[in-house]
Amino acid sequence: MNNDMPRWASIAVVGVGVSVALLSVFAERPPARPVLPADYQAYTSRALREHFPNVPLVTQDKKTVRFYDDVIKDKILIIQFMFTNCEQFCLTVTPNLARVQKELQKRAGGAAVSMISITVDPTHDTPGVLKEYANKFGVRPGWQFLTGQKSDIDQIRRGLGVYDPDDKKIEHMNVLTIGRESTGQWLAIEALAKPEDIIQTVLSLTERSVRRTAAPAGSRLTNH
Amino acid sequence: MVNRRDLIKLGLYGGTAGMLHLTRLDSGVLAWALDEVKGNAPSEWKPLAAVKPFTQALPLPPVIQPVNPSQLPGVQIIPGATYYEVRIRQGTAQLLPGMPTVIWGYQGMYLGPTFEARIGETTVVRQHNDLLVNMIIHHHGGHTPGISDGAALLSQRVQPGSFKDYIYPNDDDICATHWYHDHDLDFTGHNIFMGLQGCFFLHDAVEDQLNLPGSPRDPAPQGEMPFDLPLVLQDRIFDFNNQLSYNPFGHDGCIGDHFLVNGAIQPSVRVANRKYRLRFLNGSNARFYQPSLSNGMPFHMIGSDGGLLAASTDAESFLIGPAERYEAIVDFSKLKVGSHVYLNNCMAQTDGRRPDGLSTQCTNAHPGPDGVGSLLRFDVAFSAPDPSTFTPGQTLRTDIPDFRSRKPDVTREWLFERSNGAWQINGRFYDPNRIDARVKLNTTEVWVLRNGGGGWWHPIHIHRNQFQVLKRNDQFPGPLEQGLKDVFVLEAGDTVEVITFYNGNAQVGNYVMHCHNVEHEDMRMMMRWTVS
Repeated sequence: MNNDMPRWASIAVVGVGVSVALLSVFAERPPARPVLPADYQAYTSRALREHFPNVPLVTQDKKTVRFYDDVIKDKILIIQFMFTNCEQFCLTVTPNLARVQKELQKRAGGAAVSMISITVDPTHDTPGVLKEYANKFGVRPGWQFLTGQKSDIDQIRRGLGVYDPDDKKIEHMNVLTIGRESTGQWLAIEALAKPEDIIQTVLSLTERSVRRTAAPAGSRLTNH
Repeated sequence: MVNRRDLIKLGLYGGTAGMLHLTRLDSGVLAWALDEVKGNAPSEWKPLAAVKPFTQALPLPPVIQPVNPSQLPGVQIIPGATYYEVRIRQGTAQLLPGMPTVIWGYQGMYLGPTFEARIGETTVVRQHNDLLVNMIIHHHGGHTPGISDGAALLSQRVQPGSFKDYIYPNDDDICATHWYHDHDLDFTGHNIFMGLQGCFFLHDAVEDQLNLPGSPRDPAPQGEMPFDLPLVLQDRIFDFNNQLSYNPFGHDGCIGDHFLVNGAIQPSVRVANRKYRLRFLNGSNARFYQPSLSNGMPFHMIGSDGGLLAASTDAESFLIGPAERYEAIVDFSKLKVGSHVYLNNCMAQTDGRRPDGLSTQCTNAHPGPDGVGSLLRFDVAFSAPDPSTFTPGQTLRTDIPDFRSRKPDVTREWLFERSNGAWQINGRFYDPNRIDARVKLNTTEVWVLRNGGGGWWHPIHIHRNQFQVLKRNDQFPGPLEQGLKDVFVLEAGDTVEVITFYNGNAQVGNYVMHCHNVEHEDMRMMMRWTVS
C-alpha cells in the first residue's frame, strides 16, 4: 500500500478488495445458501445438511437408499441405532418403538412419521438378519431397518451426535434422534422414554407443520 | 489483492472442511480472505478478525414501558398491577459487519427489553407468540405461581399465533437480578441461542436506602450509560452468512467462539471515573466464565442470583456458570480520564463437559475458541459526581431470610449422573408426565445435589425459590455462596446441600429442576416437582 495515498483512498481500495475477495470466495463455493434467510426454517434445514452424509444404505428389503436423499429429506423421523445381537436395551427399545409406531399411525393425523433403525454391527446385521428381526417385533410399513458400510454408519452417527465420548465400546447411545427435516428442528430423547412421551414429542413437531394465522387477540387465552 | 493461487487455497479450504466444523472453518475462511486482502501473510484461523474488538458501543437493553390493561382484551384485572405486552418474533440484528443476523427475540430484539418492578408490585405480561414454533417463557429466579412459572411442560406451551398472560406477584423476599428466557421442552438451547433472553430486575426499600450507584437518586448524564449497568455475557457461533449457527446434534453443550456483552461482540463502554454497580448475567448455553479486571482492581461483590449479600466482599475474579448472576461495585474513581480497563475472561473452555481451567492469557484481545481474553473494554471517558454511598466490606442488608437455621421437614437427595449416553437425575430422564417430588406448602426442605462423576460440570437450577447453601463438599460455603441462590454449579465430584422454606400460598403447581447447561436440559436432564 502506498504510504502517500490518502486515508480515504486506502479505505476505498481495501473496501473494493474485500468485496472482490468475498465475491470470489462465494464464486468458488458450491451454490450459495439463501442470502438473507427470510425463511429461517428453510435456511436452518439447508444449513444442517452437513450433518446428513448422503451415503448408501441397504434396507431390510435389500433396497439401496441414500441417507439424505431417500431417508432424511422432507421427513418427520425417529432415528434409532441398534444391533440385533444386543442383549440389553435393544430388546426393550424395539418393542417400545413398535408401540409408538402403532399409536402414531392412529394419532399423527395423516402426517407420516418415518421410523429408522440403523445397525451399528453391519457385518452381522445383513438385510436378511434385519428382516427377520423386524418380523419378530411385528413392525409395520414405514419402519426401515438399515445396514451399510461401517465407516458410512459411523459418519452418520457422528453427524447426528449419537456417539459416546466417554465409552468407545458403547457404539450407540440409547437415544432417539427425532426431527423434522424441512424445518431444521431436531432433538434427542432416551430410547426407553415412555411411549406416550415419545408420541407427544413427535406430535409437537407435526403440529408445527401447520402455519397458523394469528388468532384474534383474546380468542385463545392458553392459561385458562 | 487475492490471486488465483489464493482462491484455489480458499476453495480447497472450504471443500475439505470437516463436516461438523464447517461453520467454524467458514468464519476462518472469511478471516483468511480479509488477511489476504490486507496483504498480510496467510495466518492461522482468527475467528474474530472480521470484528475489530472494542469498536462497537455496549448496547443497553431498553426498559419496557407499561401498557394500559384496556389494551389487553380479556386480561385479568389485578389492583395495583403493572401491565406489559410483548411480541415474540423474528427480527434481524447487526451483530457482525455486513449481512444482518436473523434472530428471535422478545419484541424482535436480540436481547429482550428489561423489566423492572418493586417487590410486591404485580407484573402482568401478555406474551404473544408470533413465531412458527411453540414458546414457553420462564421468569428465572422469580417466586412465581406454577401456572406462570414457564417450566418445560406441554401445558405451558404458547402455540404459534397465540398468547399467554403471565402473572408475577413479585413477592420475593428481597430485590434481585432475575431474568427471563425461553424454556420450551427439548428446544431451549436453540431458542436461547437465537436471542430469547432478557433481564428482570426487582427493587425494594432497603436497596433504596443503601443509595448504591445507579439508584433513582443517581441518574447518569444524558447520553451516558446508567451507573447501574447490566452485563449479559454470551458466546455464539456464526456461519459464513453471518447467521447464528446452532448445532442441534451437539448434545454435550454449545460452546461459542464469538463473545458478546449485551448483544454486541467485544464492545467498549464509556464510563465516568466513579463507582458503578455491574450486574453480571451469564446468558451462555454452556460456557463458564471467570471475569477479572485488567488493572487488578477488585470486584466489590454485593449480590448473587437471588439478591444482595449480607455484606460486600472483595474478589479479584469469580466463577459464573450458565444462568448465574452476580452483582459487583467497580470503582473507577482512581483512574485518569482517558485510561482503559478490560473485562477479561480467564476461564478456558472448549467443550460442554467442563472448563479446561484458568489461563494466564486473559488479556488476549482476540479470544480463541477457548474463550480466554477480553470481553469488554471500559473507557474512562469523563468525570461525573458520585453521590452514591458504598464502602467495601460494608453491611448491605440484615433482613435476608435465614433458611439455614430452620429445621428441615424433609431431606431429598438428587444424583446428577451421566448414564446411557446422556445425563440423568436419580437414574431417570425427564418425562414431562411424571412427578418426581411433591413438596408441601410451608415446609422446610434440604436438597442434596450430588454430581455423580465422569468429570462433567452441571449448573443446577431449581425453579420457584431462592435457596441458601448449607454446605459445599461438607464445608461452609465461600462468601459468594452465602447469599440467596437459584443456580448451583456442581463441579466434578461436588456435593452441594441447599435449604429453603416453601412459603407462598399462590406459588403452587408444577415446577422443574434441571441442568442449565441447556443442551443437557434439552437431553432431559430435568425433573418435575410440585408444590401443594
